[in-house]
Amino acid sequence: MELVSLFIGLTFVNNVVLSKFYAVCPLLGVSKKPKNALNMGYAVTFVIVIASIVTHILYHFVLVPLEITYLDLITFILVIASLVQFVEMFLKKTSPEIYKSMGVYLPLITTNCAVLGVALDNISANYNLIEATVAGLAVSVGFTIVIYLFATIRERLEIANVPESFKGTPIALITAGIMACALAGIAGLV
Amino acid sequence: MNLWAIVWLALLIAIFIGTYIWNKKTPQPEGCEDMSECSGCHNIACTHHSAHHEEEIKDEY
Repeated sequence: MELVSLFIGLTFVNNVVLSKFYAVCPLLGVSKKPKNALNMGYAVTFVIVIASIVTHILYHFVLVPLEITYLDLITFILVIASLVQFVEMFLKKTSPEIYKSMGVYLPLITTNCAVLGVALDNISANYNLIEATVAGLAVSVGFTIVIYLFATIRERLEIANVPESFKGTPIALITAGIMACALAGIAGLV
Repeated sequence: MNLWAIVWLALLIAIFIGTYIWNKKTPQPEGCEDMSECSGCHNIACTHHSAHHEEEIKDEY
C-alpha cells in the first residue's frame, strides 16, 4: 500500500515537472507534437527507471563503503551519461525498431535534469531499492502524462486566437502554470 | 584526499569514454542514418540542431 501511495504521490501530487520544475526544457522543447512528446516520454521512462536502480546500487554498495558519498553528484552524472550511451548502442544492435521510434530523443536524455534529480531525491529520501525503482517509474510516468497532455494542449493553441505577445513560449508557460494548479488540487489524495 | 575517490572518478570517466566510443563505432540500423537532426527546440548550441546539419550539407556541395 505504501508503494501505491508513493507511486500516485510522485506521479500526480508531487509531479516533478509541475511541482519542482525539473525537465522544463524538454517539456517546452519537445511538446510541439503529441507523437514526439510520447516518444520522449517512453525514452525518459526507460532511462529513469534503469538510472534509479543503478545509482541506488552504486551509492549504497560503492560510495558508502568507500566513504566517498560527497562524489554522488559527479558519479550520477557520469553514470547517467554512460548509461544513455550504452542503452543507445544496445538498442542499435538489438532493437532497431525501438531505436527508430525513440530517435534523437534518446541521447538528449543525458541533459534531462529529471533523471539526475530523481537519482539524488531517491538518496536523500533514503529509499530502499524497491522504493527507488517505484519512485523512478512514478516520476517518469508523471513526466510522460504531463508532456503528452501539454503537447495536446499546445496543438490546440496553435489554432487558437492567442494575442500576438502571448504566442509561443509565453502561452506555453501560462498553460504549464494552470496545469500545476490543477494537479495541486489533488494534493489531499495521498 | 581519499585515494579511492581518484580511482573511482578515473574508473567512471574511463567507462564513459569507453561507452561513448563503443556507441559511436556501432553502425546505425537501416533507415536510421539521418536521425541526428532535431527541431524540438531552438537551442542552436545543441549538435542535433538543424542549423549544424545545414552547414554539413553546404560543405558537401
